[in-house]
Amino acid sequence: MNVSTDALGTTASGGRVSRLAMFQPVMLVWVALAAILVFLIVAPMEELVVSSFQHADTGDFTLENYAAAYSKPRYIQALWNTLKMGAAVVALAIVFAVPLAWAVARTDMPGRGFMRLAMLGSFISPPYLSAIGWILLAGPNAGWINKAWQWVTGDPGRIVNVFTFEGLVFVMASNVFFLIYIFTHSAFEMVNSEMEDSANILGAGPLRTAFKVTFPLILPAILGSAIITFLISIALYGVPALISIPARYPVVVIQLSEFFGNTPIQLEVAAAYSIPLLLITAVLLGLQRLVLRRRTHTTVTGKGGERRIVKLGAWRWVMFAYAMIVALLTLVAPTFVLFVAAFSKVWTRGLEWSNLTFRNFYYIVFEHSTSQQAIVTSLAVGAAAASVAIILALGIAYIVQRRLLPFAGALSFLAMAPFVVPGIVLAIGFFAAYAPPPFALYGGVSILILAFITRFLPVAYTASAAGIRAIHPEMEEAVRSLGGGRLTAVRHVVAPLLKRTLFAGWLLIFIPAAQELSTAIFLIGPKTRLVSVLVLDMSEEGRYEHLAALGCVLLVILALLVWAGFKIAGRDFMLRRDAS
Amino acid sequence: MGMRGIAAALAAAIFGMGLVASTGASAQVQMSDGVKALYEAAKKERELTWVTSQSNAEYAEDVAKDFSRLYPGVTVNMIRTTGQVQFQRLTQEMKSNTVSVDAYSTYEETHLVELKKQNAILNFKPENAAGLADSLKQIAEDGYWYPTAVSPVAIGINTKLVPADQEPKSWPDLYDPKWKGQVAIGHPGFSGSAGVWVMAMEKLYGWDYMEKLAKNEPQIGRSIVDSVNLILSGERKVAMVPIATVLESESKGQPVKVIYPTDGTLVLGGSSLIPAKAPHPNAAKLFMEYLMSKEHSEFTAGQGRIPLRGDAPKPTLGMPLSAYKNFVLPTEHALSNVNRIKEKFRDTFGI
Repeated sequence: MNVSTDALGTTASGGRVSRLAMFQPVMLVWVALAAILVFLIVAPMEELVVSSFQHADTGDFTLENYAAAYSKPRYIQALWNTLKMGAAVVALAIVFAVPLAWAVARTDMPGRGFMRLAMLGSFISPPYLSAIGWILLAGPNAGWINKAWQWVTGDPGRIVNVFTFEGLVFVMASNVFFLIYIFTHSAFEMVNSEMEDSANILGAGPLRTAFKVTFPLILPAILGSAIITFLISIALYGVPALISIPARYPVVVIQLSEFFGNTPIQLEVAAAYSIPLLLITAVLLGLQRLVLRRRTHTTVTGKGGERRIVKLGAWRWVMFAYAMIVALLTLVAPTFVLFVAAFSKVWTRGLEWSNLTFRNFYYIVFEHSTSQQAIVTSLAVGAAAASVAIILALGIAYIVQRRLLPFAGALSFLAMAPFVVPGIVLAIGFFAAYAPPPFALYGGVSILILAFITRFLPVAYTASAAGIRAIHPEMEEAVRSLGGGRLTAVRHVVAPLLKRTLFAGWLLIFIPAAQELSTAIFLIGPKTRLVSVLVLDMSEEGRYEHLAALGCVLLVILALLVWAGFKIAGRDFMLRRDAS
Repeated sequence: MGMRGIAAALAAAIFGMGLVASTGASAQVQMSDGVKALYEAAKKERELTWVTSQSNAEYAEDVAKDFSRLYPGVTVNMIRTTGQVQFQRLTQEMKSNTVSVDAYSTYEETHLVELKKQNAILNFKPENAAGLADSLKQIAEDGYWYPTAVSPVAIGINTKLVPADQEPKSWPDLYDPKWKGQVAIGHPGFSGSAGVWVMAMEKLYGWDYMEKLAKNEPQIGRSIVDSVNLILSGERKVAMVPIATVLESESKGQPVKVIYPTDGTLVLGGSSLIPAKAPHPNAAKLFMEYLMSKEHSEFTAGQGRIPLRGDAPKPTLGMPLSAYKNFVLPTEHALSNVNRIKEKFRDTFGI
């Protein structure tokens, strides 16, 4: 960073300095960053695409893999199912997220503090744990909800079944809507009341103001985050593995694991099968970039801006009820069930004194060496990946946003590119590229860390770019016009403003990286254990009580870290303007 | 704790002698010269990585601990996973020349044959293989792989939810419409045992069996151990199950029971091998000797599982194989049909 800003400072302020003199150091920074991105992103993806056109044995060019990948209606059905699922998940996530974001950001709804906490909780809780919570709650025969229904009404039927398309979509949506919430929330916070006031003064009613001013201002945030949510949900592995197999709703990630699972492995067919997914996501990503580019309003300016709270009157209780229902369904209920199971001898017996035990925790923390190891590894890998990703992303984002280097757009494109790759496919690309010599990374934690850096680089980049974008250059220009160089501007204006972004971005990566499953599932070596993979293994064996205890330990550790984050970075560190 | 305590006490009372004997012997295992030499070489390698899909993780961990107790200084990094995943990992490791697996235990015969075809198996003849029960010796491919686990697959029921007069008796009872929404089975795409079972049912009754079963909307788990949990929790009432897990739960006082089908319990033979490029070959050889040793057979029987050796005591749980009708699916049949039935299963069940 220092090198780049130094060099750039001179470039920008001293336009008369010979271009040639400045060319080299600038290019060096660019080359270094580009090399890192090529290593992390281009090489694994190139392996993937190339192998899709390669004959499995001879390595010759062939289209056979594509023929095999689309040879059955069932395979095509899985693709279509995935798109349908993704769209339904996004729709439901918007229904969950947008009203909540508005209510928390702009109204006097009671319980806003609680909702902020709940959103944080839903971010901390990994999808596969929530899926297991819902399996215990809404299993068709033994699930608590159906049991309670049968007990109360005497009706032997069932009212809920998590093993359905609806169940799948619901569990997915309750795990991914957080992102839409965060984006929309910050967008609502940035809508200046003065703009709405102007509309009012010019004669627009509240509704018209909402549709003509407020809504258009937050629409890019909703659309942008909806696209990302779509991409995340079609690439999730844990929830489909747990729910869509019993629900008999084949999706792409399951189909991919089928190709990998055949004897011999159909790596090339799997690669071919993942190509349309790559194309779809590439198109959507382009769309998202367009949407964000059109958003020209700069939000954190040097001038003041007022944001007034909307008084809802009696409606605030309606809003409150809605918020509580969302929090209950998406977070409180599945987490509660998980904790109960963790303290149970047999989870099906539910809340009973005779069923209470601490044995599961004792087993997980003190006896089961694999889980101790898994907890440490998961946290360490998450921390390492988050640190590297955020430093890398900030460097790129600053260069791109301030247009300090030629071809900076290529860097930003590369940094965002991993979005196009579902986690499970990324894992195979990484395996193909870095397991063989000379790298020979398979089996250790390094390949996991590298894959996670890649996987979360877009998040790091989005957060960093947004942070930098939100700082109007006028503040740096103010420093510069008073005689300060770019370095001074960076040190005294940009860095202090970014401190929270930096930390928030770090946590935004650390938390999901510490629980990552979709990429880890195929990169995990014999001596590396991760909590996520262990949880899936345990679920396969039906050891729900142990699994729940392990999940609870992870949740508590992550919650403590986030609480520490509160202490360090302030209450709203994740929810305000950082991730927009 | 109560039931578990009683069961443990019972087991200890019945097999106390055996346990005490083997515990006492820990310091001085009877070692032949060959095994002793292996042990010395293994101690230098210090560890081995054992990847298994032959049992649940808890049992496999106990086996690993028992091995290290008998052979101090050699630790086992145990990884329990499904047959498919372990095969993927090993072949990926072989492709990238980064093999980390020393001992490989599976029920998937296709994988064994595939590995042999690729010259990926270390040639080794354990001396303890001579003591295997005669019926199991035929599972071995001499010099390549040897039986290290036997798993009978039968029907499991939840005794609280299935009245005595309603109990299923034979495999076709699983597709009786009265069990609609109440059956659990494993997926052949994820579990090799499930695959063998599907082939066995096809051989006995034709694919019609699966078509009828599909109408009952069985819950399809990733492993067949999962089915046991489904009947334990009452999520399902009847299931295709590995009997070992059911017997273990039953002994802890859980409301489950094994039904040995009148048309025959399917017996799966699981084998173990050493990959050609195993990084700790001596430790792996020692572990193979251990899996076929008298000590291990005693340990197995004490855990209520079916021991492998002819000279082993009877298992503490369940019945010996000779007490009920059972059959094995011939390897050749499994080999030539497994990929076909996986596809067929997916077409029939839609997943």
